Amino acid sequence: MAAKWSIGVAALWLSVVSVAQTPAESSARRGEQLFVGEEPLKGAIVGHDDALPAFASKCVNCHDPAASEKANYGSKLTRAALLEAAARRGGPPSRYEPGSFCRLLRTGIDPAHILILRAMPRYEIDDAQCLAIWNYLILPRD
Amino acid sequence: MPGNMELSDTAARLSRGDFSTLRRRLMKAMLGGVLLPGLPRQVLSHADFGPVAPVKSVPSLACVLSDGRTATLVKLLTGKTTALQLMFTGCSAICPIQGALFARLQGMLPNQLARNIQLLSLSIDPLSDDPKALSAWLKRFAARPGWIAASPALAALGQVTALFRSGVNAADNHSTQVYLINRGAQLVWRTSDLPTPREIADLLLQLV
Repeated sequence: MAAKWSIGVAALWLSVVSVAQTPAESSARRGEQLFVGEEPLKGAIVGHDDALPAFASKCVNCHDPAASEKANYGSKLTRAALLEAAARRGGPPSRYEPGSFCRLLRTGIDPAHILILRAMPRYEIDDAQCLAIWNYLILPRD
Repeated sequence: MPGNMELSDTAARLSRGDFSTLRRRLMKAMLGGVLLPGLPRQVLSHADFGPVAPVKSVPSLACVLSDGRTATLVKLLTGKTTALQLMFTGCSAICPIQGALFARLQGMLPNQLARNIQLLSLSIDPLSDDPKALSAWLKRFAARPGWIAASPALAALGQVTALFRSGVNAADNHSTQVYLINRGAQLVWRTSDLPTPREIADLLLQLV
């Protein structure tokens, strides 16, 4: 009986530990879901009246973390690529922070104030969704 | 410079009326007489979009269609006014956007079949895009009759990319422009990248 109790308590403890996440971790988890399209994002091509179907505007379509830089249509969004100062699109060195990242998603203007390709949809995205994607992308990875 | 001065002199000699007439004649010549005057004016000096002048005949290259039939590209295009996009079914980046664009476009074309208007998704990956893959592409976008998909023969791929000036992106290797082809199987118009469905619909309806 005592052994069964011990096993039960241990199982409960493990399940609690496994699901307990910090707000940042929880946000990053949601960010991953948004990034890969498990949670849909509403985006449209500039000048077009209608939003794209969710499957056509997933971030991962063009920024697949598993693909090589050459195989991706868009740039690879690594932690370093976002946080380290770099010259982008011929502009002066710049780095992303949450505010400029969200501005790019909504308006297509990068941190150096340069307009990105029109092929990237502009998203109707709220602050929590945007921060979630940001938190996912800047997670330290091995 | 002498050439420019000569042009300036010529322009100065022309009255406003003469100049308008000349401009109309030039426009008509550039469009090969196939487009109606109401078409939107693109930047004519821009080589990559707008009217194709002179118009280009589509080469007679072999294609396989989503239903397994084979036909030449010319045969597919002759007698119909066509909006053509380059794509490949294995492309996950820009092609889904292109497919969604054509789906939206088809919804803007009432009486499409009666007007002999067709949409053509032409693959640039004939090795992978067999009839099954092409059929899945059409199904994914809920294509209705009047929207077809085809792959050129591998040996003819160079002709396709040459005609449509493909190869703008290393990853996807194709343009997102839409190409308008008249009933005589001649390329007459290149849109800008990712045009709006309304823009393509208006052009098609004016070409019919």
